[in-house]
Amino acid sequence: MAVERIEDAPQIELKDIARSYGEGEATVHALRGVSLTIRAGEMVALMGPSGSGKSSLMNILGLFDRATSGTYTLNGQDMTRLNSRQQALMRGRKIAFVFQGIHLLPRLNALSNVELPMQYARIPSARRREAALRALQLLGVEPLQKRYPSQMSGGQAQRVAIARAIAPDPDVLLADEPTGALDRKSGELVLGAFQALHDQTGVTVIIVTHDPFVAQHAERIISLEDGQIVDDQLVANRLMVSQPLSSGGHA
Amino acid sequence: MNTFAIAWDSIWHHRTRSFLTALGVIIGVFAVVTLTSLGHGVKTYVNQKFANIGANLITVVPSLPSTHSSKHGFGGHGTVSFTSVPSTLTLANVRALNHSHHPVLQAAAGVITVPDLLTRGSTTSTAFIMGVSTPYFGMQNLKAAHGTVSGSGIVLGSAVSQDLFGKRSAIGQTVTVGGKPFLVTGVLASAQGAPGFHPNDSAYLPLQKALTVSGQKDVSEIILAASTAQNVPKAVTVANNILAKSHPSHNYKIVTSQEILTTVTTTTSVITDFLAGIAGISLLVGGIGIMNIMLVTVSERFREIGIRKALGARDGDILIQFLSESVLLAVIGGLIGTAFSGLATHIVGKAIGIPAGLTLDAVITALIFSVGVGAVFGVLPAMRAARLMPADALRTE
Repeated sequence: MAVERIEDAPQIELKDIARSYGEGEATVHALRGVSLTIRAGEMVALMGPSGSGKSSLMNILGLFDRATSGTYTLNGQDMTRLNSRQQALMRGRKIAFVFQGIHLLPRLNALSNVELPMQYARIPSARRREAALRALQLLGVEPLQKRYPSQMSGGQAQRVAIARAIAPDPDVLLADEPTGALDRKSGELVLGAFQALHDQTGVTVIIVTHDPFVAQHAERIISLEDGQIVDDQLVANRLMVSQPLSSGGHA
Repeated sequence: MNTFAIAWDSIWHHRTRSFLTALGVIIGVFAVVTLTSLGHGVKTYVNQKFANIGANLITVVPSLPSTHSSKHGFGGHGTVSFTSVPSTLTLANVRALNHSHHPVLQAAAGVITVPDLLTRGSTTSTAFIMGVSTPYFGMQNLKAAHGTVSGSGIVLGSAVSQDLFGKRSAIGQTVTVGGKPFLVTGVLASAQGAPGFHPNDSAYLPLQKALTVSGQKDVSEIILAASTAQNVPKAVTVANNILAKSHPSHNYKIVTSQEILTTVTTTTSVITDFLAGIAGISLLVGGIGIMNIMLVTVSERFREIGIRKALGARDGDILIQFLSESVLLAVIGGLIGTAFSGLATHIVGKAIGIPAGLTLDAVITALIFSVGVGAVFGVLPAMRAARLMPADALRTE
């Protein structure tokens, strides 16, 4: 996979994004004018305490939700203008997700879970199978392909979930508290997997977290508070997990 | 996994709940298919019967004068029940009709009921005794197994002969009707007879002798045979012309087999449709049950819907997933209901002696209805699922 990306090209551009819920007196302003630029190939942590608006921001970045106002541009394309069908076409293909609390479908085995986004993208089954196996291999969980989520450890399941996200070769990998449901050891291995993926494939990684330890594994930390960006800086002492990508899958 | 595999997986995962949900459709389809099939069986039965006994038959029965003046003044006080009308048809009418020699009018037979018991020594038969002119046997497709139907003595139905004489021949033996002895000159072959008639359990006296033994003067009805079924209307006209001479007040009524058949078939159809309509209501209730459970299923699976949408599922993908689940549920219910109906129809048909079974029509209708019920009542829950925003769906844990 190609590592070369034009580092200067802005991949994600948010301008004055606002999101409010409810009406009148009861209006809650989750985001109050957020503007930021993320270049292709960056690894960013989106940090903030609960209620800071980071989940709302992630929902908008992931096209799970629509901003009340402002514009969101991905690869030069205005996302706010897409209808729900066009947004669905972007999800899972251009922007892929790793959720907090795993979110594998319990009644599908690992391989079928990884194939699912490509199935929704109408990719022919032979190519789908091939890409799924490659992704499982990359994350070191290929031997688990026939297992169901209930037959895996938390760390294994999260690796399968990451494989599911990267299999369609997305531009942006969006992770919401990806270590939230894991113990510290498994959590570190998952963070190592993100770092290795980022280094090897050059995919843009955005990790949403409240945990400074998790954030320290990124290159850049954007801090949110009360619906606004309060801090945006590069990580001075970045934590690196030195595990090879395909290890730790059998913990 | 294809769509129906996913749907089946989900249905099987909650099999108790799925079965209870499908039960509404099972009962609904069972009721509709069973009633339709039985109704169809009755119609077929009646049609066959009439086809056997000749659609060329015409029956003349006595009636009140068709003119407005009630110069006969039956009953005197205005309350005339139909059964109290004395017969106005005479033996002379039968002869006149028989001797018309008109090509469309093949034969005429007078018929009376003899309200007496048939006995042999100390044995009494339950036979229904009638007095008939000889052409009657030909019209009703009744044939002699022994002896002849045109003799001067009594003709016994097969079961009557069996009752009184067992395996021995009844021909030449003597039986008693109303205290008078009659020689048995014929025994009929076993026959089904027209609807409402039971030739096996009847005994037939020549008309003249029957009138004498029962002390009656007039015949209860006259049966006419037209040359063909197509000539029935012409034969009715001819008969009318002949009878009008002796019955200027038109105190008789002519009924054709076709009219009776039409009346019976129409009545059966109306009753069948009416019952099937009522049964259809239970299918409707079954559909509402499906909608209810699908709504529950959708809210239980918000998380799954959210994940699928986050992974790129379009609204249409989700819609089809849930719609195929409700359709599959209804079709399974429909198939089970149809299978039970096939069994029930067969058993009931055998029990009441009609050729009832599942008709292809009924099965196709039932399946179309189940698919329809599943689709119509699945749309609302499926739309609700499809329109969820992924953010809202994922928030529900």
